[in-house]
Amino acid sequence: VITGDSIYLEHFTIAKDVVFNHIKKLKELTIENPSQQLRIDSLLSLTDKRIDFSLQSVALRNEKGIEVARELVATRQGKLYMDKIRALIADIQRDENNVLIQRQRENDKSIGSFNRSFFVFLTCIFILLAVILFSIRSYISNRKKSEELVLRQKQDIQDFIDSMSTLTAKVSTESKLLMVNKTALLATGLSMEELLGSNFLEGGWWTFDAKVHHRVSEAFKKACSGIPVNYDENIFVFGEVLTINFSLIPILKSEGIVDYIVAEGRDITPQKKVEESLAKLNAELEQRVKERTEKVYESEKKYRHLFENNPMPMWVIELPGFRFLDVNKAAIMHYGYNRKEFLSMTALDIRPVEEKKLFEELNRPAHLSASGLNRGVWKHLKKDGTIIHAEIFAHEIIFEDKTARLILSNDVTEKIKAEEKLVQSEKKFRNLIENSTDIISLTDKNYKTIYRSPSAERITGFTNEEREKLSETELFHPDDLSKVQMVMKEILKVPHKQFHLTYRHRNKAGHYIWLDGMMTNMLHDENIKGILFNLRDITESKQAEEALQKSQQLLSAIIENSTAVIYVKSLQGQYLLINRRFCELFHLDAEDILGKTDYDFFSKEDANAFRQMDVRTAVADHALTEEEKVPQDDGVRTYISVKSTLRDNTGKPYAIFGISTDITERKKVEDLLLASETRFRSIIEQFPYPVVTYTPDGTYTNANEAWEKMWQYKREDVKGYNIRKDPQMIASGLSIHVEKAFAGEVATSEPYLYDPSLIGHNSPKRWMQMTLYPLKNTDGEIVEVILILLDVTSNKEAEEKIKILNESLEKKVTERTTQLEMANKEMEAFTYSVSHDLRAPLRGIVGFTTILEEDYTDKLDEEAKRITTVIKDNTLKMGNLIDDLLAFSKMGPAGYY
Amino acid sequence: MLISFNFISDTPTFVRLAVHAAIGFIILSGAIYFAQPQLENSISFERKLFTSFAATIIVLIVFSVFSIFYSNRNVKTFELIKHTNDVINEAKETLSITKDIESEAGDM
Repeated sequence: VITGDSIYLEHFTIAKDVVFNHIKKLKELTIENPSQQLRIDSLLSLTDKRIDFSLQSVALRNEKGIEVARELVATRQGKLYMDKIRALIADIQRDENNVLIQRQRENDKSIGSFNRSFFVFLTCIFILLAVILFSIRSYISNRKKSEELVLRQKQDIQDFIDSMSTLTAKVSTESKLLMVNKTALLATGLSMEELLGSNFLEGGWWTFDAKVHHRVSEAFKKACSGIPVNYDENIFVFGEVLTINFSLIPILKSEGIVDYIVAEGRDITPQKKVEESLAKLNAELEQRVKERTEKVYESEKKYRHLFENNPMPMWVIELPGFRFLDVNKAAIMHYGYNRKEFLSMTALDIRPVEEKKLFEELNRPAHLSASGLNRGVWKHLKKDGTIIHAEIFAHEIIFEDKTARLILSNDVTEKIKAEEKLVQSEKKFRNLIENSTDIISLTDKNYKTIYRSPSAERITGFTNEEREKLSETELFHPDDLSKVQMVMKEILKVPHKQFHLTYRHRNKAGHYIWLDGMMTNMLHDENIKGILFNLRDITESKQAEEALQKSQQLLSAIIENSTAVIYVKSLQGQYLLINRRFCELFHLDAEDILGKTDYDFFSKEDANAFRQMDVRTAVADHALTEEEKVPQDDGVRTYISVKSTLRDNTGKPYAIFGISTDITERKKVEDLLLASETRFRSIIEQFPYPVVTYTPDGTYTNANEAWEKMWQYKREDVKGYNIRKDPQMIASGLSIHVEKAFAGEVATSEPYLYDPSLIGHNSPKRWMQMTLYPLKNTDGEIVEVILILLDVTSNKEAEEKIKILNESLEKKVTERTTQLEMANKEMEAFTYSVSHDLRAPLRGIVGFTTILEEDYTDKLDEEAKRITTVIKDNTLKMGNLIDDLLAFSKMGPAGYY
Repeated sequence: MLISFNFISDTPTFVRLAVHAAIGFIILSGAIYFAQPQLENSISFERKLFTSFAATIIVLIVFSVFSIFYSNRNVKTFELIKHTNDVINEAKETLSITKDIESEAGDM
């Protein structure tokens, strides 16, 4: 382009042709990479454009000169293409570099893996080969040792067999001799070489006939079939007949097949001879034993007869173990077990549970030797479950070659029972006497104590020793002494004579107690031989008797002196008892009234009324209290009668007991009170204000009509209400007034708004003022609290209205005041400005008037001077007035006053 | 086989560890079982020898298989590297020729 010489375009022309080949190759190489393919397509397009641009600039240089070409180049389009091409190629290279790095990494990894695997496999192979080598070496070494061991064992066996005194040979199943011991060689006189391989059955080392040969052959065959054979054979050897014991032992292989036979021949000729002589001796001995046994059997038969037919139960038990070895008939009959059962049991089994342990304890070897024949009395259990007491005699024997014990049992149950009964009877009587509350004592004829029951000490306090030391005068009451002494004297005269005696006896505390009882002369009774005292302490009953007497006297006095009428009637209405008051009222003596009924003194109607109450009382299970009207001298009087039944021990009524009190006066007072109460209630009921009454604990009792009207609900609806527990009262602080009233003072509350809905009523809320009056009885106790309610709802509403009105008025006043203040301010401003404006002309008038006086004094006549002075004075006055007005306006509303 | 498996990079590490431990335990159990004296005595020497050689041959076969596998993989990666280098060289050449076009045409 610069020179315009085409020689410089030579390389351009070549490059232009080559570049597309390279790009094409690049595309082929990256055919599997889509992003690179896109880039190469762009590169191809850009390269094409770049070449076109270059060609265009060359053409312009050639056709229109350098300036035009320069202008085209100056457009920088070519540079732009080139920059893009560079960027694209850089991207392609970067992408490929990344791929290259990745692939190199993979390659390194693969080579590393291969190397490691190679090393590991190689190591494995080496280890395996080493193991194999070691195994082979170990095997060869073990094998060598085993062979040596086998050889040594073989030698040992050979030595062992050689040392045996019997003829021993190893024979094959084909009856060939495989081995023989030295004894065989010595016995036959042949060498080992001569014997080995020869036939065992045909061998010339012994001489035998056809029968022996046959037996040996049969035995050998049997051994070859795997069965060991042992038998004795008489053989002619070295000129003498010897008894040989043959043993043919087959030796088996692991599969169970006979490998070879070990043949053994033992010379048992001397042994046989000894055996024969022994058999002879045994036969002789047997004969002797037989004879002896017969004798023993006879003797045993005799003893067995004694044992079996003994009337006492007997048995033999084995030691140790106590198993029954034999029992006699008496034992079987007495105990109920049959022989078989006995023989299957032990001595423990016929013992009750509680004695089993003791039996075992006492029958240990240590005790056995120490104990004698009599083993005491034991409890035995019969088959039917009854327990008997048996006295046991035991004797150690040898029974059927066993250590045993012969037992003889004597049943002593009845004897023991009788003894026990006797002991119990004695115990019972002793207990009876010892625990008796009565004194039982026995003295001799001199009244010396033989026996004294423990109750004597309990009652008198004296022990036997103390009692013995005391004389009769010290013991008996002086008043009773002579009586007691006389009885003690009289009783000795007649045997079996009994005396009843009641006297006072001094106790240890020094008081006298009453004793009552019998004295019996038993001196002639062989079993007793004494005087028997049976005394009872009756002090308490004596005291009770006295107390009863006193009580009866007291009751009688009360009944007689009572102002009430007291009487007892039979169930039929007849008077059984009456008091003095009864007689006084009817001016009759008691004798005239007792046994008579009410019908004898009163009219039929009155008597009927009394009788009816009596009947009601008789059937009632409690006392009845009723009023009764009784006509008397001063008119009909009212009595309050309390009547009850008197019952016997079985609870059956037998009389009616009554107390009637004259309540005529009290009745009158009560009527008056009732009338007063009615009036009072009526006033409350008619009271224009709501009134409510409460009990002293605050519970509502009643309310009046005004109350009902005010709250618009029934007075029954508030039953159970308690003013002291009213939550509204407590919350509003009114409970202070309530509590004050319930404490006994009159209380008046401030007006309050009460909401009945809070206690479950639907009446509207009302403003109330309450006044509480406590009502007290004569003792000053509060009996009732009266609440008077003042309904101030309308006042409250009026107050509320006035309040609202006042508030609106106040508001209006404030508004008016504000307006006034504003008007005043405006007025002030106006006054101030007007004053100022007025002063200005006045100053002018004064000024000009002064000029007239000073400058024209000679020209003015007196009148004119006077008028001038008047003008001036009035103007000054006017000025003063305005000044005052100004001052006034500055003072403001506060200055008005 | 177990060791070869351990070196295959595609398998996750934990899976490799697990398989390795599992097969290791199985081999250990087998070894403990066959270590019983009565079993050890009942297996003849010839059998043991044969087993050992068989194990060696198996290891060699496995090794051969893995060798072929690794060789192929290595060849492939070499080829890929070479291919990438060719692409880079071709790109460089293209850039060089394009520069020639630019300079030879006389653009400023």
